[in-house]
Amino acid sequence: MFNTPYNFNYLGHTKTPTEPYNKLHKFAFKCRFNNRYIIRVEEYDYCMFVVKFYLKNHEQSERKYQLLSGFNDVARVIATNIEVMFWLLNKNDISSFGFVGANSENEEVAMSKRFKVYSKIMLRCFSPKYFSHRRSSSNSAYLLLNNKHLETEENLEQTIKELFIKYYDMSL
Amino acid sequence: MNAAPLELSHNLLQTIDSLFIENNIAKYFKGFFLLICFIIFFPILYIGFWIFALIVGFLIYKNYSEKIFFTSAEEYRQSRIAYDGALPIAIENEVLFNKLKEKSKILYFIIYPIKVIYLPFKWYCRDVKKEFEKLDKPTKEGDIFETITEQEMWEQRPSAYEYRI
Repeated sequence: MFNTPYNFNYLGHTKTPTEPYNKLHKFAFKCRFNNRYIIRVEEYDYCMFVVKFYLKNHEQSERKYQLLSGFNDVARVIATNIEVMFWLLNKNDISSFGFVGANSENEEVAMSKRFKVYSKIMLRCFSPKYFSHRRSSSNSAYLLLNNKHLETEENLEQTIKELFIKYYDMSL
Repeated sequence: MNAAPLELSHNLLQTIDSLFIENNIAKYFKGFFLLICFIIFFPILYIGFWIFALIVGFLIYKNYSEKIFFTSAEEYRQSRIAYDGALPIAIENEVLFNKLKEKSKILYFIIYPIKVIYLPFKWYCRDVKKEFEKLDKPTKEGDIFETITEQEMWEQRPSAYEYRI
């Protein structure tokens, strides 16, 4: 089910001196219904990448991460996002990843549906041999910390956690 | 009416007596022979049983010992699957042999070679568990993020699904 990603294109990156992240990478792909999706990857210090995606048609909406496409094509869309993560990992083998499972309308922030689905997929794809998994159920946030990088950087975990909490306005 | 007393000749009585004696001696020697056979062959059989158990146990341990250390995600998955298979066998046998030990110590020591066959499962579980625990790196737990343990991660995923990394 998650083995059939769409082909994606790398649209390049922009340096973002005014934002908390250093670079913004953009990827795009078309689903089988000919709708275009954008994958937005924010690159922070310590090779930390935060992955987000939305439907191109929803780009102007403030709630673009919360809207549902209604195409029932989630498996392939998520698979494509995972491919993007592996693409980044191939570029830099000490990359760590993070995401927040946005809540839909009339849904609590904690343990959102998206978070539950994404978490399960992370457990399927990323083994504990290479990645340490951390989650914040109350904020529907998930971190994949690269073990290779954890071994070399002593305070990496704490720094990434703090960074994530700060920029994503997380609460207890 | 009284029946006439049975009169047996002297020779006939002697023949019957000798037959009885012969039968008894035969029975005695038969039992003795079996006892000798038992005394001689039981230790040999038991030693054979021990050797068989040790060989089987060794082969099982050799097979499992290859799955203790893992260097890739796939090897980790295979070790986990092997561990999941070995753990119930190790626990069940431990319980079974403990019960048997409480009931009859003699029987427990007689069938101890069977336990030897199952011991590698216990050793494998012990050794590989240490390796799995190494994956749970000690972390400073914050209030917001919690660590997902290796055990929890494994239990929440379908084991047949291969890791991407």
